[in-house]
Amino acid sequence: MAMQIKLEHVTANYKIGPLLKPRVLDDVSLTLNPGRITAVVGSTGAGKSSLLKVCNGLLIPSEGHVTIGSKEINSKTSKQSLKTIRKHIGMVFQFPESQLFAETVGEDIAFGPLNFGTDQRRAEQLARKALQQVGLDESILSKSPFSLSGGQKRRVAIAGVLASEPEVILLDEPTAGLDPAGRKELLTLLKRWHDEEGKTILFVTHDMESTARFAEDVIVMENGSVVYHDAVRPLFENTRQLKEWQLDLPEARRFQLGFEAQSGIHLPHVCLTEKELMDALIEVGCV
Amino acid sequence: MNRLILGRYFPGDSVIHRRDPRAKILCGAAFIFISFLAKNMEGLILLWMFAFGIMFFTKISFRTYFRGLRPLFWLILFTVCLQILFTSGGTLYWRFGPIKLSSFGIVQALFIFTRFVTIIFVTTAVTLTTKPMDLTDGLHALLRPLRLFHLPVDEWSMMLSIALRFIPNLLDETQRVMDAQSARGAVFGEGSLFQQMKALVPIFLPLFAGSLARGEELANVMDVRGYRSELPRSSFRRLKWTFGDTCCLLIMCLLIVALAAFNLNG
Ligand SMILES: Nc1ncnc2c1ncn2[C@@H]1O[C@H](COP(=O)(O)OP(=O)(O)OP(=O)(O)O)[C@@H](O)[C@H]1O
Ligand SMILES: [Mg+2]
Repeated sequence: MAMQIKLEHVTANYKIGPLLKPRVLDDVSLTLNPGRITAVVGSTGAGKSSLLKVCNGLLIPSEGHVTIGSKEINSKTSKQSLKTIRKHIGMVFQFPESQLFAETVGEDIAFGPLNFGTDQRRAEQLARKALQQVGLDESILSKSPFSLSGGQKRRVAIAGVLASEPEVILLDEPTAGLDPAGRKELLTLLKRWHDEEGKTILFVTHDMESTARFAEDVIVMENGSVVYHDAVRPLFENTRQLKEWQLDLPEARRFQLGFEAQSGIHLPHVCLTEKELMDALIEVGCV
Repeated sequence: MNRLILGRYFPGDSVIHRRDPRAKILCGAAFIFISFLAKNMEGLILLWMFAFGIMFFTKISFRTYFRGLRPLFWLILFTVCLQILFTSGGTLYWRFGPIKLSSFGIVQALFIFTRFVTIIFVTTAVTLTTKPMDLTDGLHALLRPLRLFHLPVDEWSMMLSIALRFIPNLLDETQRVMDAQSARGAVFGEGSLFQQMKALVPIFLPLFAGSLARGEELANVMDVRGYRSELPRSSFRRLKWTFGDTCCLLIMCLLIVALAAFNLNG
């Protein structure tokens, strides 16, 4: 049974010494559909990262509460129950490679499972499995994480989160700083993990191409509020609304709109990838 | 991390904020020496009054200052206890082997406590009201005469300003790494001392690695942009000494005279 994440009237603030950054999340209510891939988009500072942090108890709501499975996070939740929650909710931060610390890749990946109370043998098994899931060879298990390339480090860091076998995985801009090929490869790996294990994925991205290709649902955030939470396709239908939210269009959709404007032919449905676009063009008999 | 007060700047516009950093550094340093001049009750009270007066004029809440004491709490407690329990003289109230409680010890402890806390308060007031960059500029200006002895004052000040510049980054980075390790089930500040120390490894190693990488990057950037340590440096920000700053120094002198007078009378 996949875990459900539910936010009810969540308001959250950051506090550094005397400085208060109020209402980074402003009365957010949403229910994350279990077993689906959801993208979180929005302009910088909209509160996307904060939304993720609230979902695994790194940022505690000042008002409202978050329900995760049967557990609730509010201002009174103890450290210990947060740990139980985090066992089920994996989180990959932006530039996760900066969290690597152990002497060997194997140890680093096993850090999570060991913290959550699995024994050494099982943790090693899990590390192997996670490494395979992110498409790396077992031979690097005994290497130092600091000797790897940037892309490999990123994958090891993600493996370190997958190894705890979370029910839900939250990723903050997992593809930031990767080239288009690397981006696609990483998302494909995550999608495969999702398809095989039926787990929930929530990822923040600035890239509409990835959103169109990999996400099933989209959350659009603006100034700490969720302004859209629905399937991908309807989002890219309303271009005027997208402009207001300062969101781009995926390339295929942009081509479709240009084509429709110039030729006067209306394609039967919204196309998000080249393949869909091709099929639609064949369908109306243009090719 | 967010509780660390020492070395943090609180923006504001108080009389103290507006003082020249040189004046603040001089007064802060002077206060440390002065606190050793206090040898009787009058002197003690004067130190407290001065410290609280300064804190009041910074317009920063006293709570902030008390929170700044917290990291040093054990050190202060330890020193004070040592003084109370192992000083003899005056009336003896109680003894147990080498441990004794005497009137002299209590007075001595009171002095130590006062020195400790007022020095922390005053130096905290200086750092809270001075931008780190101004602090380095001020220090640089005060140390400049040492150049006569061929001491690399400019380089010191450059090093200091770079170090200060990176403190906020380091704090942010620490928070980020802590978040990331917490998400992987690490728990900080729980368990035995040994366990707590072990829990710090996953934070410090990434921080060290990151800092080294950033330091090297910065060095390269400085090289590429033509930084040469042996050339004379000019400054973009100018420090301006005002009448208020002179007053500050005068007040400090008055304090010294007052303490000296108390000692002579006492
Ligand atoms: N640790 C922090 N302390 C104080 N304020 C913060 C902190 N992290 C974020 N903020 C503030 O909270 C707001 C939302 O930040 P958040 O990181 O959630 O935005 P985001 O949507 O993830 O932006 P980006 O796309 O740039 O990553 C911003 O205004 C930011 O300045
Ligand atoms: Mg972010």
